[in-house]
Amino acid sequence: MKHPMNSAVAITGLGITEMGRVYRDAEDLATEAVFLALEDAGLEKSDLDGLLINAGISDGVGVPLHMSLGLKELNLLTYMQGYGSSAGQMVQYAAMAIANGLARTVCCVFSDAPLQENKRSGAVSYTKPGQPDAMASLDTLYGFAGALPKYALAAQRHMDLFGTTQDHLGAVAIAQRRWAGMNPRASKREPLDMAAYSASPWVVEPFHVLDCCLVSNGSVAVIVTSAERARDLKQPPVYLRGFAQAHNHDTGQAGHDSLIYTAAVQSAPRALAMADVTIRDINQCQIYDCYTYTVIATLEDYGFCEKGEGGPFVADGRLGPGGALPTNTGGGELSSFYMWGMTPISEAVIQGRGQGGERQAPNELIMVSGNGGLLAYHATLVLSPQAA
Amino acid sequence: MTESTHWLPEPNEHNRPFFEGACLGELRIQSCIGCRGWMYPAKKRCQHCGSKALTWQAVSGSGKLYSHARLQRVYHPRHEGRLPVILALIDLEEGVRVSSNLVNCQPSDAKVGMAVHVVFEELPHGVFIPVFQPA
Repeated sequence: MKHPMNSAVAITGLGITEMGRVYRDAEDLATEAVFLALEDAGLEKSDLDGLLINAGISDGVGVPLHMSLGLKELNLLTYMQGYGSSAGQMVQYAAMAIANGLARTVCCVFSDAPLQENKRSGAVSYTKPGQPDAMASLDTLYGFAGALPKYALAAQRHMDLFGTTQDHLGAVAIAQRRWAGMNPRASKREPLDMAAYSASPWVVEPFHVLDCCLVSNGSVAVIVTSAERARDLKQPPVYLRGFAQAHNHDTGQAGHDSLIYTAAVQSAPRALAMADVTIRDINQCQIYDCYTYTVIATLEDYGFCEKGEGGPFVADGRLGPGGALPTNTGGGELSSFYMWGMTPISEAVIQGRGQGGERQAPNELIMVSGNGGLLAYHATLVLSPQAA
Repeated sequence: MTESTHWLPEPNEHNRPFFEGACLGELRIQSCIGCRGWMYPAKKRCQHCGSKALTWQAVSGSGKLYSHARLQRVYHPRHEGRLPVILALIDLEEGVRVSSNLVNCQPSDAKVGMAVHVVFEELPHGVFIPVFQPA
């Protein structure tokens, strides 16, 4: 029997602002993204009765956004935070609210403006105000500041255990850059080969600069409504066929292999079960790619290949244009822009509508991931142009 | 000119035993009196059973390298002149994972699973921190 949430709602509007070194504040960007999404959907502001808000690193937008937008009567309004899983979570909570009659049409918006003029992007994620307690400050002494070193440790463990190579990581960056070359919105579009990848400076080895996402200013909004209502609107509906979350707390005990087995292990089968499909039915992926390794680990944990085989799996151009599993077809967070979980969702909406232009890939079933923390917070969406 | 020490850890009542132990050449890890679970870094309540009855225990300092990576940029005054700093996660034989650095080891010799043992690095003002070297 079909799960009651399978195809109950659809994403009907998408708003993407200018991206990158755009020196505007996060609320200003969020306001624009919401209006762009409304226009895209062919909806009026008065049609919105729900607003879910997620702020990125700069934490520059919150509940007062509804006042800037002049949304006077809402049935659903909150600020949410699940790091990289937030965007997927917002779509899920919107879906459950709509299916249960709390709201009819919900806008989910992410906005961030961490980049400041004349400052390197690296300064952004490493600058933390205040002095933490002495034991926490040890991490900074050792060199563990921010997320990057921990993901580098995860990648190195994968390399030592399974023989994953630097070129395997590079293959992810290169495949995505090929897609980015076909995406006018992508920040990095110039061709990339293995020599250029290898020559990219180290940050925390085994990560070159080109293994890391592009810290970006910008905002993305999506509008979720009932499948029935979406069919009457301007854009082709992109149905939410299945979804799930999983959040693993690593208590730091020996034997927990949390850098290798991510929360995607638990999230994917539940999302696929709701959609009543198997991993072999998936045509394309939009995978959260804060680092190249995140793509390899997530594809393994989703079941596209066995654990440990992710390196060879991505090595032959499988993820790139013309490959068997088109992945991150807009260039992803590595080559287009880093809007946390909204980067994969926004590209999935474009692909689900068939509006990918020269980068359009088979789109019957699109697997979308959101990942936050140290591979600990996970949201999965299964999207499709067809309702079940 | 006095050396700038604004970046030195400033212990408080929740973690002072850790730093006092390091001064004495002893690696101390917080543990729960009730369920005997380990906690690193220190917590105010046991993250396993919720008890507030916590203590500190000296551990062997022996463990295996869970993973490693090479920091290639200076993000802290301590990293000046010593790149690459080898970041290390160590599974102590008592069953708790700690973050630290691997020292006295060529970066290319570091391998997941290698046996390591604690040593203590002296920072200015008599502050000591645990780091690990090949056993």
